[in-house]
Amino acid sequence: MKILIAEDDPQVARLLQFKLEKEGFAVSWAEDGEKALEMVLGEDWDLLLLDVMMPVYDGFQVLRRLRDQKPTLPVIILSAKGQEKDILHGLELGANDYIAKPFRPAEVVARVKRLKGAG
Amino acid sequence: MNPDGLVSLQTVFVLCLVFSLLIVAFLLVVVFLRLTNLFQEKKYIRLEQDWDRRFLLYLDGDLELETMPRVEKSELLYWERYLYGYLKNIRGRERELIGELSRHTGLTAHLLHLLQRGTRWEKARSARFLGTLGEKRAIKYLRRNLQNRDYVVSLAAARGLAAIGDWDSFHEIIRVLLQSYYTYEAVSEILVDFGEQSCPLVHQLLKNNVLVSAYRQAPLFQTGHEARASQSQFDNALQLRIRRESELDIEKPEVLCLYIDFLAYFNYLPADRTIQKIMELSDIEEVTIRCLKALERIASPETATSLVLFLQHENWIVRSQSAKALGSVNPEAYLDELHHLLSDQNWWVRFRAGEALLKAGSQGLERLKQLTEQEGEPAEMAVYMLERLEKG
Repeated sequence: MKILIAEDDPQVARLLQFKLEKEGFAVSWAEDGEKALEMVLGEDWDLLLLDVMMPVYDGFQVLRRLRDQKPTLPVIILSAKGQEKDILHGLELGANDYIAKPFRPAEVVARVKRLKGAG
Repeated sequence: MNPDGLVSLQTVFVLCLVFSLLIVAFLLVVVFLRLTNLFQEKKYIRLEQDWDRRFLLYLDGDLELETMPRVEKSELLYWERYLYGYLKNIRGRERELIGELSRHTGLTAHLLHLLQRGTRWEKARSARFLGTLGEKRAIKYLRRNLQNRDYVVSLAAARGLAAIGDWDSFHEIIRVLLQSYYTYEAVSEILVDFGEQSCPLVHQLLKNNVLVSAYRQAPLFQTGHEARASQSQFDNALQLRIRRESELDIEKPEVLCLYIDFLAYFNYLPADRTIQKIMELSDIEEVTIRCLKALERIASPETATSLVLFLQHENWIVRSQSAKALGSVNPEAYLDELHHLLSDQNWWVRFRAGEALLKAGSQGLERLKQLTEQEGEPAEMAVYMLERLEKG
């Protein structure tokens, strides 16, 4: 099962990659919005973990652009923007779940599993 | 100077030489700093690679704390930078594990020391890390640093205390920040660091302000029993002011607005009537506008009767904001007032009134549809609103 992490903070990306790979997922990392969009549209993925505040394109822009071509790809937003309006905005754009930073790593893994029915 | 009063060639030469040497020295300092920075960055990347695998295994419970090596003293600030990258982004059990690791490797003790004896930046970094970690032993040093004249140290200490949640320092932090060089944005950041739990304290400050303002206006109209009650109210208010407001600048409109914005940020419903009261008592338009924005956000139906009063205000910003707030609170009950506002001379006021009518359900929609059969500005706005509705 392939997961793409779009996250500009390498430490957060490494932590998530480590946790998810331990659970048996194949994980790749994109460090900005442009690269994330390129990767997500260029290959088949089972899930996208998407940060909001990223260089080039932010997470909301990435989500808006990818939804036309990949309407069913499960997306979890992982963001420091944890206000109600941000969460609603993310969900309105088509995200399947929203996790606010700081986060519990185990919770991210659990939500990924739940979304993919692998738990 | 020579006898003719001109600067000699020799003097010019010396001046040029000194100037050139200063430029060279400056460039050397820049190059040195740049090289030092590059060296430090390279060292950090190497250390990060060394630490990462072991740290992630530890965080996942695969390595025991006892197996984790202590960190060289010369590398502790790199270690702080590394751990902080994780610390700021995660919470729960993993954050506790980082705390245990920090203590085990000697980082916590080192940062506590720096909090007392470090340079300004070391104190600031220590405050940031220990605050995020929630290290209670740092509180007494942070309180001391809060009084530091250096704003970098003082602000970092304030944020550290807020992150730890040191409620005993709450009023002192606000007092220090408001009386120093900080912007109100910095103060609001600290309040947000304290989090939603500080809403009751901020609300109390606003309530005290209402007492003082109410007294100032009341004696003009009151006699007998009412006046005595008012006097008693004033005594309470005065005591509160001496204890708090005089130090906390609550009567400054900017500070008042800051507190109102803060309560609105957290949608703090218990403050709805207090904000409403401030709005009614204040004669400062900026305060009125902030109150209207806050009430729009808090959306308490109890405040609708006051919002309507501001639909006829002389300032168009107040009129438009009150229409917008009414749209969030209870537009169904004020269809006539909103309808009337569609004839306002200002486009934004008509626009907000139209939006509020759209939010008023089928009755509001019916009003807008009826208007489209007429002519003039209300009809134009009604058409515009219905078009917007169609476009979604």
